[in-house]
Amino acid sequence: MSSEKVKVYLDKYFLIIMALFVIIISLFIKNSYFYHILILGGIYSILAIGLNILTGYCGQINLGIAGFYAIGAYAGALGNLRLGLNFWWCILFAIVITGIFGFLIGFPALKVKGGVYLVLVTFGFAQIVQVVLFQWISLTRGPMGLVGIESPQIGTFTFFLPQHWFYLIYAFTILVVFIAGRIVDSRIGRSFIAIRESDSAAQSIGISLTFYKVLAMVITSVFAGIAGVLYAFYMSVVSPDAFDFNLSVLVLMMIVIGGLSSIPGCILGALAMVIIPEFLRKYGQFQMVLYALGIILIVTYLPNGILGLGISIRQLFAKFINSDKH
Amino acid sequence: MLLEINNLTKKFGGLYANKDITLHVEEGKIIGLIGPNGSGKTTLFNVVTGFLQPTKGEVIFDGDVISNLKPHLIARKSLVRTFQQVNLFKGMTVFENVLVGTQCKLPNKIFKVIARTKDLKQEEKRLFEKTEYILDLIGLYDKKNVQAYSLPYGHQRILEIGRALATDPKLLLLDEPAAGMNIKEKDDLIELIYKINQKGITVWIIEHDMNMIVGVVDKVAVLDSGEKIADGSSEDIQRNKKVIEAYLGKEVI
Amino acid sequence: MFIIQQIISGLATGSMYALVAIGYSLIWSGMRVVNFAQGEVFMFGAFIAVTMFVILGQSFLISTIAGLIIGAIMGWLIYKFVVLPNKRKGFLFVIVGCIGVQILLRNIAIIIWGSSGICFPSVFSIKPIKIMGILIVPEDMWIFCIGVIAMFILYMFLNKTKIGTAMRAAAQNKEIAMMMGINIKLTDSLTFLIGGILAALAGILLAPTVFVTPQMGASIANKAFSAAVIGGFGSVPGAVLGGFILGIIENIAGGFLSSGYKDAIAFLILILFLMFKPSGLLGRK
Repeated sequence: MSSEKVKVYLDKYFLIIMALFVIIISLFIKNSYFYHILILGGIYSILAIGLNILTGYCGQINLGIAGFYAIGAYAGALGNLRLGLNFWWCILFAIVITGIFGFLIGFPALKVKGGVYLVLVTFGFAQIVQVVLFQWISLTRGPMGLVGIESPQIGTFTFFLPQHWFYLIYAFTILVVFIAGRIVDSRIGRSFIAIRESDSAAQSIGISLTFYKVLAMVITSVFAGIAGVLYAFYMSVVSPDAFDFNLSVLVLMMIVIGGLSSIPGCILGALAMVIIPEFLRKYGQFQMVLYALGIILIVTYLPNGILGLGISIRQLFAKFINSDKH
Repeated sequence: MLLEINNLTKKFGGLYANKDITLHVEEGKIIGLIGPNGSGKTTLFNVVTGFLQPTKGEVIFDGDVISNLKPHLIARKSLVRTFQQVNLFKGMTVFENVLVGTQCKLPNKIFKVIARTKDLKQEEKRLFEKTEYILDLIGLYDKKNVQAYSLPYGHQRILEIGRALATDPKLLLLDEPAAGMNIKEKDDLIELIYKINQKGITVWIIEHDMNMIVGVVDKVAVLDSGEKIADGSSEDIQRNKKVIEAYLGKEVI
Repeated sequence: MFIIQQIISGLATGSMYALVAIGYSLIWSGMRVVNFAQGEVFMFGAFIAVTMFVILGQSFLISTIAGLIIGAIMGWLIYKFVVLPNKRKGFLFVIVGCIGVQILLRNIAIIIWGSSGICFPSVFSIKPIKIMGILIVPEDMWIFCIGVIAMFILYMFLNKTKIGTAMRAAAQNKEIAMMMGINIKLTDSLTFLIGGILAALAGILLAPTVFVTPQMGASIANKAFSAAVIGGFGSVPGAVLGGFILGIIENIAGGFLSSGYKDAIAFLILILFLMFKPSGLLGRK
């Protein structure tokens, strides 16, 4: 099967593939460490998909997704610990809060022309968030972090076993994949791509740069917020040092390595960035050197991502066009 | 008058790119805009379409003052332009390029779009049909799945026009649409422009190729060093002393 | 009095920020890319110098020269293997590539020198002397002076030599420069080379005042970034101005606030500038 065809099938049936993946894993895997890795991969996937919408599809570089992730996590933690909200309300709470921040940061940042400025503003934003989380002790307990976040419940059932978390997280991941797929495969997605390809041409055919860029930013921040809440409840503790610049970079690399503007690629990239460091752990410091070399090589020689999934917009539209013909 | 440009001036620092230009475009016509290199033609287009703000003067389109509107709002009012240098969405296919154009005037109903309601799907179907119609009109239907960047240059220019057409313009501004085309392509282009005009779309063309201009337009305006020096039918212009001077002084026609 | 002392020690910090910031602005103005690995070149320069000085017992001058040479080589290597191949794919790829270099260098440094760092003994006197009633630490003065001398040399190079002028021309308008026969690849690689030298020099100047650790690149990079933006990203004089302003403000604020917030100052100033005066103090537009 040619790689083009593979991509088409992947996009069309990805949701089903993911669901199958989840079911098969849960039937055969009993090792809780393995689940832990997969769960982290699932959370990162949500981050990656979010970032992909802003950076992969809309072409705006964001170096501060850790900031939104942190806000989501702390919104979830504080919502639960201080406001007594349960998991599900915390998700809504975090969506609203991160959405607001996404809008506040996006609006002025995207008005300014020139790619560097968004890079710097998002970079600075994430740093400031981390500093504030460290220093605003009365709210966040600073470096000691917040502990004791309750486990999510549905009715009387509590999610506490690795398998439970696996299902819960991947349920969210699949939901995010679904929503992202709908966004991307629509006139909104096309507008995003148009903006990425050419600002001026997009404007000349009626696409409002501000509206769509801010929309992309809000979508990204909301997804990051959801991931943050999942993280906070899964770990049941949050502390500021988890949300540093390295994390923003990690997510950025996930989407580049998985293939820019490919949703399956995000999942792949997210899993790769979680699983590979684990394998390389044996080599200690060399692990990081190999990792870094890997990044440089992949970026340079495999710009379409490891499996070449990235930026091939055809696949997005192939669905519609083919179904239209028959 | 569909488009009224009144006393328009655009200054860059101390330099007058457009100086006190008054120009009217009548609905349903094909108007030309010529002038030596650097006379301010593209700048004028940029100001009219909102990519630049005028220093002085105003632009009125279809009764509305559009002088300070952002480009995308002007496009939504049915004033659309193409660019001097090909400005396609290179990463998209031919079909996708035109499809994006069809979205121009649609409202941004985010939640409806994500939910894929029935009426949204109907709308999408209509957009697809419209896209195919336009591709047929411009003669690129059989290339619809080709990546835009791999089209030959002449076809890329035509595609950009097709994309502009998809937005349902009342006034279409073409910035040197024939640049770099061979004779056959230019003939096809002229035919396309006629077809477009027959549909009731007013066309305003910047061109260097005099033959193209003479054959196609009803009226021509001439710019030199930022000022309008002549305005009339192509015959009048060809005999106009100032015009001849402007061209001979700077380049040979 | 206290303020004046803070200002003076701020000049030393500022001079270092300025050196690294110049690298950022130079590279941006010449090539429209950001070298995110600048901080690691800074760190490597310091390590090479400290190795030569402390471990191999060479003189400070030789150690410094060694550090500068390594800085230049590293700058060039980054250009040749990471920036050049990825330029046409767009900004994002260059950024990720440079961040990869950042991680690479940091971990190589950890492997070679360990993560706890080496102490670079003070080369200049740290005993404050009183000049006109103000306490000045000679070390600070030396850092400031050497930094300024380096900036002066750079200025002469960019404005009085043929190649320097070619670099400026390329920064202003690539196409015209190419048509005039200027070798863009040469000017680009020189840009990175110079950026590397400046970063390494800043590292060597900082080394005697702190522990040389593999992590020192990170914080300087952020600060220098902010400095470049404040002064106007892409403007070399702006980078100098921004560097000094940031160094001074930080020092003054550091006298009043806790050190944790001191770092936040840089970012706060950065964000404020980006929101209200994104072109910086001396930037274009």
